[in-house]
Amino acid sequence: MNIFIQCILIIGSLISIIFVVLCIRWGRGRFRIDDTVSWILMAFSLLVISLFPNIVISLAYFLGFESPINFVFLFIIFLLLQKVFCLSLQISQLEYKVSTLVQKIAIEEHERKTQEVE
Amino acid sequence: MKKILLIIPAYNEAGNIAKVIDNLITNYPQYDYVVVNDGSKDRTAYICKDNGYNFIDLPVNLGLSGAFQAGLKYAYAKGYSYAVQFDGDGQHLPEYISSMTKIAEDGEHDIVIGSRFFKAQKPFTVRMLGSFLISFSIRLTTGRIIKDPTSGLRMFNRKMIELFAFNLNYDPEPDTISHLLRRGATVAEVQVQMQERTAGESYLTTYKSAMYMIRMGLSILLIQWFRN
Repeated sequence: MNIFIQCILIIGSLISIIFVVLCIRWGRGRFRIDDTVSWILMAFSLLVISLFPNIVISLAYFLGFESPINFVFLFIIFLLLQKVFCLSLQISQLEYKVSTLVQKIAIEEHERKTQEVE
Repeated sequence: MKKILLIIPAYNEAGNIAKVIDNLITNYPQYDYVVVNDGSKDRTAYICKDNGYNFIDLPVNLGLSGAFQAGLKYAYAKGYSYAVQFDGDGQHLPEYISSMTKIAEDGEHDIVIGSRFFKAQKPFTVRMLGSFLISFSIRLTTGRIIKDPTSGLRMFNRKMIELFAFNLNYDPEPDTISHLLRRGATVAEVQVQMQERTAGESYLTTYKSAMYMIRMGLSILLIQWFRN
């Protein structure tokens, strides 16, 4: 692998690790541990890949990719798609919960008002 | 004003809840209790209402930690000194709460765990493999031995009630215990017996157990180092 690309990858993965860790440490109360796990794993696996590109290179040639970087891109795109799908699922559940809550509050408010009138 | 509150999260516990609460009311009137109905899809809420139990009805399902946190907020608002995490499926026995309270008060411990394996030997089964791994992880990161980290019977003092009630990432789970140990909280264990659940399904189905183990392992071994 081109040494320049490798340097960029190492720096990029280090930055992403530092960024994720800082967010967990200083952004406390905003990030649930369950949600940080995938990001930490992703950041560390990027670092491993950039330090030992031979893992990816041999895997890519084994699978028949012409360029290993194509394999990296494809794999990361797959991971991102998967992440987006999970987020979309979570948003659906959140929307359902929010509407359930809004309806419950509205109905209780209505009942309270009618009781006051009586 | 009684000072101990039993928080009983209940998700689809229609088959067990009446037995558990009736036992508490008739045999253990010295303890207050609150059932937190976690958006159950069965008759849990009706049963609580019909029998006049003290219960909080969550309109949506939050999961165990969200339901328990609702109970802790109630405990905090009502000024209880101790809150006990108590299962609604009948596997926890209230007779052990007095010994847990004694240990918590005498030793001024933050958390007291009702432990199945404090004195008794932990059986070497597949089900207990997870428990072994979590114990080992906690020992590795904190140097402390918690023999039954996955026990769901835990007592929290006033300080912990406040901490758990108003903070994110303080789930009533082993990784939080590990985190608190690292931060200097005192945790004690008391030997208890537990019963097998009689009806309904546990929060932790066999299918979820593996995911639970992975989450706990990652959280204790990896994430805890980045938390403050």
